[in-house]
Amino acid sequence: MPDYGNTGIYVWSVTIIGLALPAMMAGLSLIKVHLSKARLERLKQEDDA
Amino acid sequence: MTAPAPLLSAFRQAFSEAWASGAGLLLPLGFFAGTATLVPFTLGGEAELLSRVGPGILWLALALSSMVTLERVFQADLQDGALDLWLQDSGSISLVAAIKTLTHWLVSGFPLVLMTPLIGFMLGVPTTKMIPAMLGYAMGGLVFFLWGGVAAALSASVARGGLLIALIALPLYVPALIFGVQMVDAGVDSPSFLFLGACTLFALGVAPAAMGAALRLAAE
Amino acid sequence: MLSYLANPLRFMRFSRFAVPICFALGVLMIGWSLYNGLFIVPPDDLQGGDLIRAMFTHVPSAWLSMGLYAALAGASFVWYIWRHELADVAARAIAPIGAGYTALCFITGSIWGQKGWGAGWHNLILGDSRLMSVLVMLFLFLGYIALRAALETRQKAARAAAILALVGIVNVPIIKVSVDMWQTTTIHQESSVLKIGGSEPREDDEGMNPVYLQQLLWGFGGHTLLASAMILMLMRAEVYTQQAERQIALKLEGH
Repeated sequence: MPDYGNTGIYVWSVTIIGLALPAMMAGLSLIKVHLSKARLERLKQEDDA
Repeated sequence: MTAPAPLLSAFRQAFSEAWASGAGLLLPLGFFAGTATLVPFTLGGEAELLSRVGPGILWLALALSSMVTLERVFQADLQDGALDLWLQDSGSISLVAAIKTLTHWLVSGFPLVLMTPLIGFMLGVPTTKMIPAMLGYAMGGLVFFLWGGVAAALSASVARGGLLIALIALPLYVPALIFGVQMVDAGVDSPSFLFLGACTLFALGVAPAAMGAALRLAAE
Repeated sequence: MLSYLANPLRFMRFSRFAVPICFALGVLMIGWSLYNGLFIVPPDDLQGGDLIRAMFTHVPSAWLSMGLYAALAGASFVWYIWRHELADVAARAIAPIGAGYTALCFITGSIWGQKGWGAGWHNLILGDSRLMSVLVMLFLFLGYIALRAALETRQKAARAAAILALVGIVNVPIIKVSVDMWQTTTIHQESSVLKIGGSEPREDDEGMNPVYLQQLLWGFGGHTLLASAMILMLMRAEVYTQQAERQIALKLEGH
């Protein structure tokens, strides 16, 4: 781990937020797709039943 | 284009509505005067600070006052069916929307412009800058009412849409606000004034069309 | 290609393999840019040493936030003129991702500036024109999302939001000009990316060292692909939701 001196915390916090926020958005999108797909499947099953 | 009659009637109706209810004139006026009056109390009476901040406060008060009555501008027409009548009768809803907005500005905005010397004096705006300031406020106020009108038209079918209107209008107000405040100091010869004029012309061109499209949508 | 994809069925088939590819490539490119940017690339002694490494996250998000608003306006335009349903689905999906990246840009910019310009929090946020225009852009996205949510029927929401996006995009240049004029002595770095210099580090207003620029472009490409993957995912979710609603409607009719 390189030593950034006293700028280290800023660089790392920016980088971590820059990874966390997109990861969160991606996670939420993934959840949304799965939920909506599951709902559609459930409705189709009820229909066929 | 159909006869001017529908446009005149829209103008007359909007005008009488605003004057009759009193809210059209008194509410923004009161809000504006109240804001401007309270500012010296919040900032302390230091003359130098006030004169630096004064123009900014006046512009802020103008922007916020314009939002105060926006919610009702188109909602009332939507609810009582006047909007449907306009769509049937007149050739261009955008023109009607423009007239309504200009009326709204005349009733609610222009008096604020007339009040600015008084309040400007209270806030320490130098007297030499007063006339260009008033001109700027007249133009800027028009821009606020035009873009605010777009926000109001888009939100016409939303009950209690005041916050939504403010949220939509906020980014659109920024340029006029910036140029307007700069222009008070810089005067009529400055690039800020030219930009403010350009913003006004731009808003006059684009906003009515957007309002028309939004109103057509709201009426369905 | 766009008209090919306008068919929802084809879109679903396309996005089914496009999403994982964009996602994987995006993550790889971001990882590559950060690996280089954080560990390999030398610090810039002219501008705060190692602190400049923050730019590998901040600058791509800045470009992306503007690009996404343009994409939002573009999708709205396509929908308004040609009424392709998928264009509206796209607009709906772009908005939250755009808002997220704009927020990311603002947050990272504030943190970076907090250190880089030695300013207090209040001075920082209010004293820099570029960050302020990012904030205004965030409100443009939020207003769009709020308007869509407030209107009842999907059709109305789509049309109103499209009008708003188009009004927004024509205002964006004016907003940028006005905010730049607002702060004539900004402490923010002058735009240095568009002037590409030689292989030596130069003064800030003469262009950026290509060593940095390269990683910036990797990061930008990576985040763009990642954002695209997210947008495609949200679009798929929307298509599924609409199909589900159609199923329900059919059921109610007694099929």
